[in-house]
Amino acid sequence: MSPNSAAPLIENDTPRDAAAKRFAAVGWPGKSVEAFRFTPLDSLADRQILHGTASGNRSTKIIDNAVHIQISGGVYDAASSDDMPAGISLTTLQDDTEAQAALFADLPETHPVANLSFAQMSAGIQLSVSADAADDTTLVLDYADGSETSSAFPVIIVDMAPQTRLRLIENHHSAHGLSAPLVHIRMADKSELHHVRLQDEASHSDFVALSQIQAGANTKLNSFTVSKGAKLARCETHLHMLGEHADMSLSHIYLGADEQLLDITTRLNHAVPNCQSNQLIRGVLDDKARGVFQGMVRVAPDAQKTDGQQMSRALLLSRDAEADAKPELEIYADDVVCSHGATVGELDETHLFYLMSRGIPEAEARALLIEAFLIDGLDQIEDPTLSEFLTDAVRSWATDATAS
Amino acid sequence: MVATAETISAVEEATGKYKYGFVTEIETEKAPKGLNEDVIRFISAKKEEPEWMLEWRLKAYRYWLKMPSPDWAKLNIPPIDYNDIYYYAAPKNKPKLESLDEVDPELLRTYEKLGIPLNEQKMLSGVAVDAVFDSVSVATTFRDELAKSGVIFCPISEAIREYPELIKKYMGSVVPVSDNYFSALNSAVFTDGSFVFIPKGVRCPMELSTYFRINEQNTGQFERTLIIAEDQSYVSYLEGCTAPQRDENQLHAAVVELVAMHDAEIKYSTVQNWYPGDEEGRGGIYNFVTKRGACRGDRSKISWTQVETGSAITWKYPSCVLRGKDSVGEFYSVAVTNGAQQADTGTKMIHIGEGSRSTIISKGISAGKSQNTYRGLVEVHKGAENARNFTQCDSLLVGDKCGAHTVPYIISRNPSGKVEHEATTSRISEDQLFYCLQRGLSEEDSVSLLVNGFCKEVMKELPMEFAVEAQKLIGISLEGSVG
Repeated sequence: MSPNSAAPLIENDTPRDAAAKRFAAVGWPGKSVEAFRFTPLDSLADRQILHGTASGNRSTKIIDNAVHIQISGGVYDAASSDDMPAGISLTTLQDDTEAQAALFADLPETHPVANLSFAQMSAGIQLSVSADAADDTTLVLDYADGSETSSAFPVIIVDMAPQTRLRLIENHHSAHGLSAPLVHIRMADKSELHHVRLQDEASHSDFVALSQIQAGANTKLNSFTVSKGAKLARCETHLHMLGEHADMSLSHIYLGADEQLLDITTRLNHAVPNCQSNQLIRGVLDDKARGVFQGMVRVAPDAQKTDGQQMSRALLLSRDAEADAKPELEIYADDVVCSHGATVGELDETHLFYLMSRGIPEAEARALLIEAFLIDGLDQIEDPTLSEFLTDAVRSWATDATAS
Repeated sequence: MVATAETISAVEEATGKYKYGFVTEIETEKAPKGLNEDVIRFISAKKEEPEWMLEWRLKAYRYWLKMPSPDWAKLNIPPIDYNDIYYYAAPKNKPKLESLDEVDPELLRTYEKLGIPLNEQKMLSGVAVDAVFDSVSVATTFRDELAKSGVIFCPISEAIREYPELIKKYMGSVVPVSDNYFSALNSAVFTDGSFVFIPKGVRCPMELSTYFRINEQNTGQFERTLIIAEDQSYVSYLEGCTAPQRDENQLHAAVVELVAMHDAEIKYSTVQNWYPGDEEGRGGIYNFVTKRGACRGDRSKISWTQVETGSAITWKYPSCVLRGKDSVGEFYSVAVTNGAQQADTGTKMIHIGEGSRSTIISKGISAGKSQNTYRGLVEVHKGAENARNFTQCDSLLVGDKCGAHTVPYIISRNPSGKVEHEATTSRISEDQLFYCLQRGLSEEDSVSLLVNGFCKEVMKELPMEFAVEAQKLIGISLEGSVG
């Protein structure tokens, strides 16, 4: 048992038992819990916990030359997944008590997703990237299938050895009543990760994801998320900079319509000096949708020379849409440059007029302006295929939103 | 605003200990320590209050008993024993005063030390002073002149007796009794404060000012201020605070309510310089204040300006409820913390009316081992068509042991509303510091100069009388934080 585990365990309790007890003790947080005040999760208590089964189907590829890992019905489907290339190993977590204990030690003590997903673990995968892996390896985690009555608790660990490079794509398009993926990424010194995530779950789904990233010295992260599916979706990222000169970039786009509630929550922990973080958040909200952005940047007492930037913007397309934002700075070191900006507003009528006066129909002009509003975020993706895939997702959303 | 002469003299003045740390010896009359219904009845009786006021107090007290003490602020507040506090202390031998001559000369000397000689106020500055010494208003000047223009400016206890209709109508209408823990406590035990009523179409002929001063050891100070500006009226109100040095923590829980009707404007300025406690955080004032303004009328405007340099713990969020069409709310704040001080301060701008606009400029300066938090809410309601908010929060860190935090909340429910928020945190630029040092300024003077420059946007909002004092205070507050 790890000496670092936060709660003292009762003898014979496995880490998963302990996590289950921690979850049972408090349950899903309501709005009286500050971190969930804009997005209370107590309604999730009505969702039954019922693991699904793999359908045996393999999702269509979104990118060529990628290694496909199929999570179907919340369960890892080895038969529908590719073999791992040289230098990358895939092991399952269910029977690996050592890996479980190590993960448990790093979990936040009271987080509902951390505790419940770790305890339930419908799928458990550890991906280890060694120095032998090719620099241009792309892994796709494809989350598919499921039904309104099923729930999925996939737990994924990604372990990157020093000086490795990886491109990781998470494609969430399942149909569970409740999906709660827990992703834990360890970036050893000088590793480099490109992380792309598309959340396009079924319209009846509740989606609460927790991603934790531990970044070592001289690491480079480029993470990009588009959240557009689900009824309620919360994408929460905890990024710990544990080695100096980490260079972290996080971008999020959320696109809400109907009565969706889309939440982007980030916690960045500058624990050591000389790290750089840059966050960019863009949200567009139509109909009665509500968008939430909570972004906390913490700079530890000795984390001098920290550069932490954050900019969030929300665009309201409808009278009934709502945007809430809580950017937060908690700074305990003096030689830092930190800033955040947040805006909420609607499409600029003068811009619209400009386009329409040049003969572009209104709906098209609006779609164009929405796309332009989001382009800063999309520009962050290097890979042209991937960029195109996500741009298409955004473009079709904008066209739908403006057609009505 | 160039800081040279003032700042240098400010630092010179500050070379000693806390400048205002002296105690005036005046006999006082106290209610026994502790809080219960009898104490509240005692306060009410002392104030010769009507029955309905006592009922109101008791209702608040019973409500307060059921409330939990708030703990959401980024503050470390030691548990407060509410039964170890005197809730009433009045300067003794207090007759009804006709002129300043009747005021206890000891008290007048205290004001002289503070640099506000009441005798000279009339001639020199045109400022009417309603002096609150501990809990009772002792002297009110310029009453006659104000009365000529129809302005009412009197202690709240007097207003309760003389203008019960106005009090019944407005008191508690902006900050309800049940609003929060400290407002409920204040509603139960408030002892004094000011009442201002500006009738329709009147521009108050002078700036109104009250100096609050906590004097009696272990006395909680619970002021209640109510300012009403009727249609097309204007008033500027100045509140300034200094307190003698004490070892035991003193609790201060004031409530300030502002009401602005159609086309009315209220400008409320505060310089707060209560005893901040010593380097280790011993002693000092707990300042838990509820200040709120209601822009009820169309095109009404409420502007809060505050310079917060004192208190061990500050918990204060002067807010505006912008209900009127095209109403305007402003918040300009400088909060300086040094030593072991903690401040959690900010504002709320609630946009309800069409075309309502608000501006928030907050400058936080942390030094020593202090923690300084800006906490603010901007909320645009569904009907607030074309509402507009601009917020800027800048934090400056002086030294590597302090903390600066920014916690803004933005809630927007109307697409035509535009909300912009920006925040920065950094330390004093080394280039700027070098420039000053190179020209022969001492490090302390340079920091004072640069900090005053950092706060300039807020300082220029202060009335002249306050700006000079505030500038000095900032220099004094940062004393010992560099080098």
